[in-house]
Amino acid sequence: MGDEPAIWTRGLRKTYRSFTMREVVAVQGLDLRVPAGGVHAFLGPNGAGKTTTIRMLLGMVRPDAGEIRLLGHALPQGLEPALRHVGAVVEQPTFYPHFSGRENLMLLAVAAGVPASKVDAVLDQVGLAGRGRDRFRKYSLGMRQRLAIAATLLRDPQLVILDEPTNGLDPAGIHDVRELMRSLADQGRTVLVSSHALAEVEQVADTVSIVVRGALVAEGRVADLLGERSGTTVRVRVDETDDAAAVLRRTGWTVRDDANHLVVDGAPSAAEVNRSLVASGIYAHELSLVRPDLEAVFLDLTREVAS
Amino acid sequence: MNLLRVELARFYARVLLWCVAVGLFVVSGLVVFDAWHSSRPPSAAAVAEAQTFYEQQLKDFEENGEQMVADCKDQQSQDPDPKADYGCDQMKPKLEYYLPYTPSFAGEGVRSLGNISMAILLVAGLMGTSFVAAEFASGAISNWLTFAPRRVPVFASKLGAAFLGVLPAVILAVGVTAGGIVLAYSSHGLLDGVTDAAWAGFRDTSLRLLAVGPIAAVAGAALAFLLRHTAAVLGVVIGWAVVWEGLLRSLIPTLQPYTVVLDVTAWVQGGTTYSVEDCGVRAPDGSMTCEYVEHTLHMTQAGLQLGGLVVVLVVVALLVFRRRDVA
Ligand SMILES: Nc1ncnc2c1ncn2[C@@H]1O[C@H](COP(=O)(O)OP(=O)(O)OP(=O)(O)O)[C@@H](O)[C@H]1O
Ligand SMILES: [Mg+2]
Repeated sequence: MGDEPAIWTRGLRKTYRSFTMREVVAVQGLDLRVPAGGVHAFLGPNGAGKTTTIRMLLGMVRPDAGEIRLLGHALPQGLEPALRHVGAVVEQPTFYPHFSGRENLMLLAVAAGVPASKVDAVLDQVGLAGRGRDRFRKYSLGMRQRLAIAATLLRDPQLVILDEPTNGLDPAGIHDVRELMRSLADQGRTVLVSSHALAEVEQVADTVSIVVRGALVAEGRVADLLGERSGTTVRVRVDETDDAAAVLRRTGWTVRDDANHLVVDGAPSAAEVNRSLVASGIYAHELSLVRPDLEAVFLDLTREVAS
Repeated sequence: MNLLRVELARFYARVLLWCVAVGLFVVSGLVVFDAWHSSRPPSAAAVAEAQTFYEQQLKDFEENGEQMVADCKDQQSQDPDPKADYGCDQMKPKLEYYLPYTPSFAGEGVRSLGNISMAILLVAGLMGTSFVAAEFASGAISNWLTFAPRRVPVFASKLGAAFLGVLPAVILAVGVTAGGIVLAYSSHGLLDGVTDAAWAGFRDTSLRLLAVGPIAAVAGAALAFLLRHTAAVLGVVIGWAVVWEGLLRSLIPTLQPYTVVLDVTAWVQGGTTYSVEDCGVRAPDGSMTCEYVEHTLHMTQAGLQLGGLVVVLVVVALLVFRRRDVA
């Protein structure tokens, strides 16, 4: 496939119209580029249009305008051949409640022409092997998510699309999903994972696209994006608050008092902050790097978009 | 083919559908009971009463009969229509005139089979609707479409599953009803001398009745594709029943052959009649008179109309589903 991205869209638009003719512009001119291979985070606040975009990629929702290429196939003509190599979970996964998880996967396997042996393999892969024979209706939210992820793996997908997959998962489940995404990427597959919480994906994502109000506001490598936006912020707790503040200000950094802590902006790293304090004979009880939160980045980016 | 297999497996797993089907068997039971009840021979008391009445009438006829027949013939001869038949030769009472009416298998027996047609229509339609609508309501359709993205085969397989899925229940219900009616008439000794033609009519009615079920299921499924909720489909069906089958039909009686109820009746019974009130000035004194004119609705016309309606529903549903956002 060469340099062909796994997902490529240009000028994608979707407006929902209700019976009352109220219009909601969900996606407006989205240019998305998901490189083949690796984990790609699709970030955006609630209502940014992530799910709508994913639905358009899967042919469930018809775009008003724009082009989509999925695994090298132009949509909508290429939808069927493309989806043979795609596994996707959209929003809350829904299966047939009267069937067990295993039976649900069996039905999908029959429809997709996948051998039945694959079903037990994928159930095992998501840690549902023991509960596969319970009815879907009785599954917990986390088990439903796992079953949905198992379903995506049935067809040995080149591209796995997960829409907020950690919704409803316990910490162990979140960890498992991350591991799974990582291992899928390591096998050479592409994973697109949508989320509104950066913390959920930043450890696992290689690249990211951020959407706000239906349009792309930033894209690139996760580390670059956060670094470029915020610089380093360090929180320090010391006994000699005033002395420490004076020391740090002398170095040229900005220092703010915040509930018995000092918040230092502009230092190259937490280690540098510690070094200057120690040099003045001040020892920190606590020193932590404040991660720029996505909310701040969003707000930043949205303001830029608006102006 | 794979899709159809999966859909059928799903259809048969829906417990709710089987609860609905039970309703059909209850109606079967009622129809059979009614056939049995109405074909009972007259009770001894009723026969005795008829006998007494008959004897009275016979005595009366023996006394005044000659005069009555003469009067009758007199009136007949005054009728401007030379072909008029006042039945003056049959005025002598006969016992069977006074006995309670005994239905015949060829008439009432065959017709009573049709009493289950509305139940089949509604139950099979509801099964088709709920089968498809449940997937839209739960959102399972959206997961399904990632595996089977081509909408036309998805649509066709669901309609196919609705068609085949209701068959066992419908076959059983028609079988139980037909068998029950035959047993009821036979237990009352009313099957002697039933002609081959009558048996053929009974068989054909059963077969046409069988066709109602799967076609109704397909129509119900198509409506569910259009409206996506069982409640919405029920609303539309009830609205149609009230406005079209009820209100318009009584306001404009000439529309009767275009109602589903009459069409289904005509289809199942092999044709039916309906009457339209016809008012006009006929008498020489210029007064308005009204009379009911009976019209025939042929089975073929009814069948074509019903088939046409279902085809339109299916085509519209397919066109809509092919383009519709599933979100
Ligand atoms: N079926 C629909 N009909 C009408 N409007 C819709 C529909 N689905 C989504 N929307 C609207 O489109 C916008 C984008 O919704 P979407 O679900 O794509 O956002 P999202 O980024 O997935 O949000 P979240 O993080 O909450 O899942 C929202 O304003 C939403 O209200
Ligand atoms: Mg969403």
